[in-house]
Amino acid sequence: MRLGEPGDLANPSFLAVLRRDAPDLLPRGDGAATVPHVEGTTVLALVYDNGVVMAGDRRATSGNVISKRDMRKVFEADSWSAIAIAGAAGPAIELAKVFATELEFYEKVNRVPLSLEGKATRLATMVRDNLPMALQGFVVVPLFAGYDPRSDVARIYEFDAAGGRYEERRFATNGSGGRDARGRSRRATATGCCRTRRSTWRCRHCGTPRTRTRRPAVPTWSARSTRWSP
Amino acid sequence: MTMPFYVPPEQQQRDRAEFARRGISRGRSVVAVEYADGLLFVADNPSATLYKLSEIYDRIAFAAVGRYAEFEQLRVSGIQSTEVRGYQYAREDVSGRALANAYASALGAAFSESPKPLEVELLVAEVTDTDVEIYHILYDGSITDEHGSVAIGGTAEAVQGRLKERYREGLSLPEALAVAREALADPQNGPLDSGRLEVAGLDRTRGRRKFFRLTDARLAELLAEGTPST
Repeated sequence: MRLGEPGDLANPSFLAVLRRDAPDLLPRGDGAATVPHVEGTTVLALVYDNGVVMAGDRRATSGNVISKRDMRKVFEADSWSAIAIAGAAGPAIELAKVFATELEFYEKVNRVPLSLEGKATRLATMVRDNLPMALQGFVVVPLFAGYDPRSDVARIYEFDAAGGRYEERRFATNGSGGRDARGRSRRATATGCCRTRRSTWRCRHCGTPRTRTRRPAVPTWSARSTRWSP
Repeated sequence: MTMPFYVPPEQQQRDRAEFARRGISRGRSVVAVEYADGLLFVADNPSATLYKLSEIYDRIAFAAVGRYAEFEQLRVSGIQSTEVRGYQYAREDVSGRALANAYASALGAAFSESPKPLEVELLVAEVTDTDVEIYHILYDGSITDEHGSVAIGGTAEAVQGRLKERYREGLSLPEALAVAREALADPQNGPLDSGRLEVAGLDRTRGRRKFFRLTDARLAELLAEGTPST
């Protein structure tokens, strides 16, 4: 082990140290996405009254084949936040690891952790730096969620490959199955509980009245059945 | 034309050592005491924000005396090189011994090559499941490993003497704290005020990151607990 120069003391960044001292360790993708690689599928995050919960499925695909059934997609970023990954698995896991190291490095050097907003901003920059790889097909778009003990709020952040950062208050989903998960999450969070069955007026679990307007129940007679149906 | 003076190397070494020793002896002391669950660092430090004790890596902590600006740079360099190594291989491949050697060679190089030697003295400690390793690094890069308890800084000999009298194996945390506090102060002036103590350490029963720092409230609690038993 050799000691390097201490670098920028006011703005400590592990990624900057890697770039300077060990550029060969940086995540990079020189090939195109036609190279066979593993892709993660669905992850989501939901805010609840005491914080935020993140989950992912265990499946990974390679091309059109399911290649893994025990994949890990939700990683601890630090004691107060987590990162969930979808897209090209290799670079995405690497990103989660560098990001966690980055947060811990900042905390150790400055002796204070970053704010939740600060962590999200840092991650947005790291996703944007990945743009050349994204253009080659290795798209890595994480989901970041955390609780900020200073302001006592839980927040979710979504990103896009161009470096966009979007704050979500209730839920967010990501990955190839993200669209379906989003629809379900929206319905589930609309009434504050689970989705109600079509034929009932109240949620069977919490008793909340349905908020969606129902079609007026016009009695119709079905020739094939003797039952009335709305 | 001025003639360059010939300075014998022995004389030069002596002068430099004398210079560094004088710088260090102006400062206050730091004490390291092994206790049942790991290691305790106690510093006589009136500042509540300019720390002498620090976390370096999961199992490694750092204590320093001397010039603040100089050991702060060494501290950050240490965090950088251990993080890079842990990222390059695995977290358990980072050892305190390698870091202590890196510090020794950096201090040794500064002692013989730079215009002025670094006026610092360091302790690097690593806690393992069964043992505690303490490395003591001097301003000239000489390195020794210590067992049980050690004092560095201003009045190190006197503190060390008091420490050796009171230290025994298997101390509890409040007892270790009381031993360190008594050793740090001249008995004629009474024990140090808790506001002047900076207390941190390594606790092997903690999770991945073994480092802890005592808050003022916890410190007061432990001091009250430790005083009657000694």
